[in-house]
Amino acid sequence: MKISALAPAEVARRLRQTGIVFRIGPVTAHLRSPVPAVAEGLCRLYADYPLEESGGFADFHVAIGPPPNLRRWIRPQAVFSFDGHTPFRPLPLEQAFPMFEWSLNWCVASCCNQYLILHAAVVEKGGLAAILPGPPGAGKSTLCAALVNRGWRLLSDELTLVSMGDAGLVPIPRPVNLKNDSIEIIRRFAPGAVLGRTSHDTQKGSVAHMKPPADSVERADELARPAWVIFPRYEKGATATLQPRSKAQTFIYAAENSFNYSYLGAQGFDTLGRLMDACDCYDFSYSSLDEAVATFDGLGPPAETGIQSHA
Amino acid sequence: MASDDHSTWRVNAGFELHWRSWGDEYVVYHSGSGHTHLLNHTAATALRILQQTPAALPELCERLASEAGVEAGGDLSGALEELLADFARQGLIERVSP
Repeated sequence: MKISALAPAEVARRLRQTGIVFRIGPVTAHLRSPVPAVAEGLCRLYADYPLEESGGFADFHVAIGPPPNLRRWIRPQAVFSFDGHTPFRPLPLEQAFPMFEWSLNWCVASCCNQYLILHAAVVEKGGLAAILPGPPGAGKSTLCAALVNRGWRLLSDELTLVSMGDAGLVPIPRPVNLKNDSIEIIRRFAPGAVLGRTSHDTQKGSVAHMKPPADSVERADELARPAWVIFPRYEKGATATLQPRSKAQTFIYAAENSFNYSYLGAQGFDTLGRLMDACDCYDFSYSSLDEAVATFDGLGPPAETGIQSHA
Repeated sequence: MASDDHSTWRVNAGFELHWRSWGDEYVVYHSGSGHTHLLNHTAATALRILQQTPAALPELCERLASEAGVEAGGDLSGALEELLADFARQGLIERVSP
């Protein structure tokens, strides 16, 4: 049974009372919230996610609600709680749904140490996956959104989960976080894409989330084989260009931008090494999303490498 | 941490180095510090030599010249001295007690 099987009023009622338990790839979340925008976002963007039995096991028990003080009457706020703890300061109530998204990212990044977790989007087509790291503002979420609207499968727009040992990629498909100009760019690029409400004046500017394709959610148990690590960079007027980059330097960047590489020690090193063995690495500059998608569609399988590893 | 010709160096005892290489670039993970280092071919060869057997600067120069194809003359000795000091600062190598 999917969340879409529930009427919006029932979703809102359950969120206010017992909460809703739903599965996202390898994790199960139990969400409670009396905030209407959270119910609205869940109905709109999580319609295809499988519901789990209420009261059953959940990895994360999270809530988005008003803080327990008088501020709620002065300037309404929302606060995130996780297993009864409130790790973050409240945000304006209008940001309740983005707060849920960011907080769930935090839950996964903080707790799922059975995986090596890289800060990168990841998409798959034809059995081969492209990992898209890059600093904020490089355009990885925009490119990710464009690709999944052109037949690529979304594994994640933010967290690449790498299976320890074999370096397979574990999907955790969630709504794609679009910021500022990217919101209109994707509306124009993919008029059929479903976007949630835009929240303005957040720490990241204006943000809106795009619903993941139903196929990506349905195939969330299907691991993908890593094939490319591609650093996208939007450059006004640039022709779409792939430039090979060093695997060793890509390794170091990925390690420094991982959420738990240091925590995992030698196991993390070995897993990231296997990932780099399997992938071709590129810098990618682009200005046109159509050209970018065509470039990705034309990627060949990764080159055979003379793998050398030593313990 | 300046070295001298009489110091013998070795990889820090009690810790493991884990290696990975692609072409002439290397990454090495040091189990003691938890740090990962990016090394070029020359630096990686020097560290490997010290991992195999302790060596003093003159011996390291000779072996590096033969194993990494580095020219023995010029300022190799000075460059290696700096490299050893850097390795020592990173906790990768230590002086062997006489």
